[in-house]
Amino acid sequence: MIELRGVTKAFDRFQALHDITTTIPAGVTGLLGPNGAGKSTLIKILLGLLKASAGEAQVLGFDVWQQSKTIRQLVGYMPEDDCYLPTLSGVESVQFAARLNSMPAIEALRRAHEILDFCGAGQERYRTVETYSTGMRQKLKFAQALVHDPPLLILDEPTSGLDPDEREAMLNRIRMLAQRHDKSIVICTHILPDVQQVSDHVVILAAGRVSIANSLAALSRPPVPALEVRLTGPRERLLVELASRGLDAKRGGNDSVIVLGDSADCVRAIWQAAATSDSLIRSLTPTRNSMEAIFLDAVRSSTRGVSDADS
Amino acid sequence: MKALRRVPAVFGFEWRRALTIPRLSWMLALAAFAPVLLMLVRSAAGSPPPPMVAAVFVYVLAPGVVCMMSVFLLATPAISAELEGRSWVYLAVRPYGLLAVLLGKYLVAVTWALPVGLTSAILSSVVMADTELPRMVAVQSGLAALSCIAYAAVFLLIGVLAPKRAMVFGVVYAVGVEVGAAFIPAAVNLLTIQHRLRCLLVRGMRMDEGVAERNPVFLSYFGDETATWHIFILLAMTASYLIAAALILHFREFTAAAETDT
Repeated sequence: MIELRGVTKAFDRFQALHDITTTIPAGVTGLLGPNGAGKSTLIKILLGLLKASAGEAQVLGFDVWQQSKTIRQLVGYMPEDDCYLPTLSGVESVQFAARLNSMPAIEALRRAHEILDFCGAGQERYRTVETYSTGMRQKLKFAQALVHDPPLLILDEPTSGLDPDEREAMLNRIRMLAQRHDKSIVICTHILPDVQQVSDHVVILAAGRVSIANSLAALSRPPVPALEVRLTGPRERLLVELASRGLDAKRGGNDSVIVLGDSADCVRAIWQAAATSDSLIRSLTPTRNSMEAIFLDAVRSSTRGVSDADS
Repeated sequence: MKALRRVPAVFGFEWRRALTIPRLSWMLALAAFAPVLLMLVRSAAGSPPPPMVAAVFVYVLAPGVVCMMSVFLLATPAISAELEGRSWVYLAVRPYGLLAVLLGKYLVAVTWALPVGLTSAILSSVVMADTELPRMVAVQSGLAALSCIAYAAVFLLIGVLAPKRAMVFGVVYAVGVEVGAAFIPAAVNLLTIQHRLRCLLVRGMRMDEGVAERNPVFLSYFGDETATWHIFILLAMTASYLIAAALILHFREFTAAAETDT
């Protein structure tokens, strides 16, 4: 879907991206990184708005600089900043975006209404955009990105400023587009649970370098397989029973117990230990690395790497 | 060609955006400025001015000040307004969006300024001309139209070249080049729009009859080329300014003013 080979970008003396080489596959990809990591610069390079100082980049098989017009026809971009055209109504803004993507006037209007319906914009679509709330502005930007039905969407902070209901609705839309409409989506965000909820793949940038690029499933898997037991009842007795059965168990958060191993024998032993210790198991799930932990590890290791290289 | 197909859409939307009461008010004020001023001048003078003086007065105020001012206010901030209003990305990420926006905004600037310039030129001619009114109206209207077409292109180019200080550079250009350099009797004035319009005024109002042959100073200011040649050069200058603006837009890396994150 997106291929980057040695992409470097410098602004005068400031190096924003250092030799970025990675592949973003089809599906939903979370593009993460702390402020100043180079996410926005990378997106602008992918859209042909900035030219890389060195390296090559391809989006959907097209060169980002030589074939930027083709790419813009195939990519929908939702910027983080408000980018509405004052004095136009919501539906006119979306229609204008469609017209700039070659749609005839009537078709553009029909499509604008269709997309605004999908985004859950009601009668507000007829108001001028200056009067919109943050939530409505996010919907408008999303609709503008989607109106020409692109196979690839790049969404910069799509859930920023949304209340919990709206945030959930936005994530559902993203999921629906990926699963039912076969769209590939790159989400650039600071809200890590959003990435964990909808992404298949994660790219973490730190200090202008790719720190991690892998599938979420692989990243979430701990180095040693383990099970998390949530229970009602005496935790200490369960720990003793587990130890007596030769299992390596320790206390987890929220009164849970972490048991190393995930074999069928291990699961059987846990159930037996719970029965013997009069504990009631509420859930038994494989442990996963949290997105926060993955992100912080990636950023810290990258920062250390940069410090080591500097020293 | 693909970009040209998107221009009508940009033109339509930009026209609607531009249709505001404040803008209509100052356009009306601009249109009224020249005829009202000339009416005052004429009533103060008491007697009707000679035809040549009347033509020069109308030219300086209508195709000169009013048309230049109208397109200056419309075309110069065309790009910077989008950059500062953060709507640049909205337009830039569309295929051919930048070129369509450039040409659409150019047409909007010309079509907004044209009625203002024409109204101003026609009314001013009526106020000042006691003889040859039809000729005066035709010549001043033509000059107003050419002035809007050419100045819109040059101010748009300035807006693309220096989006952050577009208005400042626009004023510097207007004063330094179109007022200053245009009156230097040297090759440099051939590059100004003012020179071409001035020559067209002289040809159109037949001010050069019997003068050009015997007056070298006259020739250095007004040349001896035909009106058709001057019109051709003006249109060629307009086209080259627009092409230059389009090329700069294509190759330059613009970032929105509000962006701070890398």
